[in-house]
Amino acid sequence: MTQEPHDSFIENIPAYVLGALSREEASELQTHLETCEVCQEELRRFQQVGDGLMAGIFPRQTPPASARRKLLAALAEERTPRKISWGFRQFAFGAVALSLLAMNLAAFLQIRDLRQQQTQLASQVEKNHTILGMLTASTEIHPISGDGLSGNLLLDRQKNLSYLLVWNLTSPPEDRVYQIWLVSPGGERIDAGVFYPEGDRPLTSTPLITSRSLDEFVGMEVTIEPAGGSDAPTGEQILTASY
Amino acid sequence: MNLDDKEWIERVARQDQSAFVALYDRYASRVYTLVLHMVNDRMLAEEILQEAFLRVWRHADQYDAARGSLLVWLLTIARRTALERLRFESRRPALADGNEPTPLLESLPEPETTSEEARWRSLYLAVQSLPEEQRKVIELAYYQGLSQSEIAEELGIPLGTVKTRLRTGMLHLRQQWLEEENDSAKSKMELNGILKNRKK
Repeated sequence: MTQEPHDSFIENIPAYVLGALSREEASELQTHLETCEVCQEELRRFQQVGDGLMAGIFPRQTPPASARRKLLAALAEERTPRKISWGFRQFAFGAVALSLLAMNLAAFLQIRDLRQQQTQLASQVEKNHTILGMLTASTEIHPISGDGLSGNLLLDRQKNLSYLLVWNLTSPPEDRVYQIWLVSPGGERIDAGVFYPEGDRPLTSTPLITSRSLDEFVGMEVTIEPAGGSDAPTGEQILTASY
Repeated sequence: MNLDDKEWIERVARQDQSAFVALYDRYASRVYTLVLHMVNDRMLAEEILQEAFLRVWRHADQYDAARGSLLVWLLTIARRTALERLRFESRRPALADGNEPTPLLESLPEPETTSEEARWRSLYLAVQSLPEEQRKVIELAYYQGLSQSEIAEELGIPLGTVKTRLRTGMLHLRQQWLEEENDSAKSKMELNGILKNRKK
């Protein structure tokens, strides 16, 4: 390769990072980059500038709270039709399952159940590891109270982390979600996230999500709210905990 | 790579909604800031924010920590989503006037943050200090998705001039970035000085 083409390629790298080359120019540069280490290094450095141009915008803007609710509502819609295909995709089950159905439906059902149980157990074990990781000398464990429900609220004030563990929580009514509220000494309720029970697993665990210090609050409660959550509690309270 | 980030995105990839919400709460402001800067319309920015995070939900398993930070990955998805929307709607909002007073400096976070954050602040200042003709071509390319030819047409200047301005501006920013890499503490001192002078 002659020096001149290399120079033209390396000069194009800033425009390439900014996405300002024509499709043809970009394609030629990509081909050159596959074999030119000098241009690869040049690209790496300019790419850092490109990353900085995305991250380095000030002042920071905060999206309205309604954006969060709309996102969760859209997510709830998206999850509904995906529930059927999720298991197949997640466990590479689809093609195998179809064959098994043709050969022996009973065998298929048995294997599917075993796979699901295995995956659920693996996920539960991983989550338990997270929870166990919270269990240090500074972790507080508070009981929850609710009709027919048992569990604990784990609280680590030093790390400002909290996890809710609930046994045998059933799914909320259709188009509803469970929402956690942190309760201030004055009785104010602050949103700490929404969640669903975890399939047919006996233990549901979910983090409390807040940017504020947990020391500002004296307890938490969970209510049933419309999908996407509410600004303030509107539905039935199903459990509480104080700390 | 922040270990918390890695844990959260892996959980999102397993369709864990609680983790997704936590991810949103952590990064929504960063993503929204970029998108709003690009489209200059709060309603549209909210829609793009939502679409970008839904893409994160659908494709969380494609995130590769070896290729960059989670924040940059999120911002890349958001930028691409915004550019697609701008293309679709052919919206080309006016760029910010570089000569206007900049109260933004007063709103910058205090320097006692991470070194990465300090470098971004420094880069932001470097962008603001570019000659307007260089800053404008960079912004039209990166935030509006225009090619060099389209920028030449938009600004009514020769293509060669666009290329020169874009490259000169980017070289300046890269130089600034590399200086920060060598001495990240320097930017904190400069920023402190700028903020102090502005308060006088």
